[in-house]
Amino acid sequence: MNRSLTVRALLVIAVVAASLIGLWPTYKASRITDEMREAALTDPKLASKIESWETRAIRRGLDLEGGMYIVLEIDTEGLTQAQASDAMARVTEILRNRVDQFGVSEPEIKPLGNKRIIVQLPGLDDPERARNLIGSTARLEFRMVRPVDDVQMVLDKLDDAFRITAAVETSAPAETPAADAAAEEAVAAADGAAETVDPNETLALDDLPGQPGASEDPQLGDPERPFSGYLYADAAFSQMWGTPLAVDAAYVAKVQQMLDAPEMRVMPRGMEFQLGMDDVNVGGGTVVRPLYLLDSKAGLTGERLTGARAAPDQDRPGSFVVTFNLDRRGAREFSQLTAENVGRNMAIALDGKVNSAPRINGKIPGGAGEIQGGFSSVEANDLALLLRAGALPVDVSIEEERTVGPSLGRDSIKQGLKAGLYGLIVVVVFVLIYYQATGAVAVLALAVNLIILMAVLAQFGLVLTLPGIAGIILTIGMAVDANVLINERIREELDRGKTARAAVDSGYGNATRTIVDANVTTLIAAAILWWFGTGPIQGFAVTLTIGIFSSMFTALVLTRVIMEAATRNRAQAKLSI
Amino acid sequence: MRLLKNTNFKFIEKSRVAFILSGLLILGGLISEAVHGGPELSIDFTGGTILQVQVTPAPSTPAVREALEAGGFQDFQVQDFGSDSEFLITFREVEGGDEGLDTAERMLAALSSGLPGTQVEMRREESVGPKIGDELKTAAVNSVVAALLLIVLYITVRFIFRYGIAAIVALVHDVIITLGIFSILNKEISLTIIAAFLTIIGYSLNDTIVVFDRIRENMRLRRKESYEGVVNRSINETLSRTIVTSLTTLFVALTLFIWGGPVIHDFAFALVMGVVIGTYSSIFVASPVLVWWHKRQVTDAKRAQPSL
Repeated sequence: MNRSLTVRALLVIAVVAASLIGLWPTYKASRITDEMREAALTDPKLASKIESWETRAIRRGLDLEGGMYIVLEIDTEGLTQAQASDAMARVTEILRNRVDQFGVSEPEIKPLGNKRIIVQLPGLDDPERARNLIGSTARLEFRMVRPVDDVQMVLDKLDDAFRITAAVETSAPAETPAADAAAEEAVAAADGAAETVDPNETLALDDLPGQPGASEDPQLGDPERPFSGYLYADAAFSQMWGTPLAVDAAYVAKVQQMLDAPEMRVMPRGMEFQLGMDDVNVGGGTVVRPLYLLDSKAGLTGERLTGARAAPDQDRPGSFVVTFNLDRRGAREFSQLTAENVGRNMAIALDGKVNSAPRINGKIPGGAGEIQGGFSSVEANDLALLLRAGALPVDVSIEEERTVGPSLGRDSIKQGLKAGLYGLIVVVVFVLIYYQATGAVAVLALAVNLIILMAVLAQFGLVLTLPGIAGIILTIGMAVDANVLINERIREELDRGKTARAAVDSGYGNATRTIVDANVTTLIAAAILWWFGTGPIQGFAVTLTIGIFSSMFTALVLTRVIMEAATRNRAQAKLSI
Repeated sequence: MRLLKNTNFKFIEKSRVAFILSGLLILGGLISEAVHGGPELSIDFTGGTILQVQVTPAPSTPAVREALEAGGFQDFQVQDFGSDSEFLITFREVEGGDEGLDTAERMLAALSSGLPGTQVEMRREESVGPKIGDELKTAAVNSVVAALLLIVLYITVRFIFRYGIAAIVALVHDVIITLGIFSILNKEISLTIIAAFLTIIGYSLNDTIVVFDRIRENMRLRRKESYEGVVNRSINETLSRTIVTSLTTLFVALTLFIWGGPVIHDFAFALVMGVVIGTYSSIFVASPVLVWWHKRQVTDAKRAQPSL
């Protein structure tokens, strides 16, 4: 019996010692000052110490550290299962590449199910930039702009198609609510158009070179021209940006919607429309977005890209362009492509939007080019990064995004610590008053419990989140339960006239089963929380689970060692309970 | 010190009063749910965007609202959040909205331009697409149901089925009342609140199991006593422990509620409610249901063999 007591006592001491050692880096990491960081810049020894403390300290979740959590979904439409899982793997790899180059510390990129990817970027608080970085497909394409003859033909076809649809919808009024709404919308849009656009500024379609008088009365919202009515056309535009067509900035969304509409299937094979990337101010208060009719097949894609970097724009001081180089095969193809199409315009498109469409004046050897767009230095660098990391094989969409700013994270830690401290004080005072000396044992158990809990977090690299802190605080309150159960049992046994020694023995014996049973149910709940929850909530499940095990250990092993030792030699010893 | 020594409250006899109280609480919650058209779901489940900003110097809530309206937003909510200078803006995405998830940025821009002379700091931003929202809703319901089933299973294995039923009645009772209180106070159900519910389920059971465990023990020791008497005695014997444990847990839940900060305020609130209701239900719901179920079985058994 005594021997077993010694063994158990040693076990407890070993666990506590191991826990304290495990917590040491966390303690040191919390004491790193700004001066130390500064000193570390010149002192590699100190720098490596700091790094080692930080890597072995308790990891903080995004909600405490600040950062972004993103769930991406890849577009698996039309892919076989094998293709989809291949796409997942490649997207993950490319994203990792992008994020690494972006310079985020300890990013996490992992698959979620078979078509989603979780991206976690600690310390990042510019959601817009990150979204661009993660959500862009970065597909660079070179496509020929179709000649003007094709433009007029396509516009006529589309007008016919949309006119027929409109006629069908009006001839069957309010058949279905959806049809009704669609019709209403079309009418409203047409009305709005007629009101807001000054006819003087409307650039007539019949200015279209080579198609004189193609249309008598060009007007926005003209029922005869349901599609082209939204467009401006001007030969001068071709000189400026390589396409005669443009959309008033106010109707970009409407036109985009029409470009996605089923009527688009009347488009001739091998052609498609793409909008420009940016709005252009054409003077007179009119802002337009160019619209291009392009070959649907790209002459060349960004796959052949070897490098991309930001460079100052020679024409516009203060803004930047992205220059790129093609590999040898790309350069050869590019040279051939340009030689064959001298005099035409070639669109440089990124993710289905045309960046620019310069006129090919002659064969371009060498395989270098640039993307313009009045970028800021940051934008140009990000775009260069995206191009270097390569295009995603499939489109992705951001389905969920959560960002916590660094200041909120700091506040949360402060508030969590404060609540924890006050909670601890209240519980300790209560237990000491209620159970006196035995209460002191319970308090000791609580302290050891917390040390073990934190050490396990640090040692196993588990993540501490704000709900996780709440879980620790809750553990403070619930951990006392095991001690209460035992102490109440011992009190009962004492009331029945047992000696202190016997009361302690049977008290622990009877309480153990109850404690285990009662804790298993909380474990069930915690397991489900882990399975169902994301980041912060999983952090809660983690601390709750560790808290249950560590409180069982401290209550059933640690306090028992102390109580047995206290009552060992004195059969008649009194228990202050 | 000892709070309750050798008590002998007639818990089972008085359970009728408790049933009426529980009934009223449940009814009140259900009425509130009916008036509100179901539980108030957060953007985690409906899809949408929340944006927490700190604006200095602090503007009034209407000024924030106007700035957003000027930026073209409609159908959003603005709440003070924690302090005068902090606001929580909730914007539910129109179903099938093709806006992408950049609403928060556009809101920030609208605030910056609509509140000149102030500093607008983004503190937190959450956007959930409607597809994920739907999935999270299903996952939340599934997880609560799974927790309940697993727990019944566990209790049935460790005790007998009757105890499992009594425990589940108490748990469902706790969750329904907490849901009702959330509805009455117009608080939203979010992912973290579901986490709190699951914790309540685990915790409430803790108390219930301690009482059941004592009932099982006393059934062996006191074979002559009536079932009702044994149950009542068991509740009384464990009463001191129940109160002490509930108090310490309530203390920490309250400190979280008071000092834990606005981000986990509702979570802490759910925990506080859960501790109180869970303790109440393990004494006044789970045990009486056990007695009632036992009586029914006994009468059934008698009816089955009347001539004997």
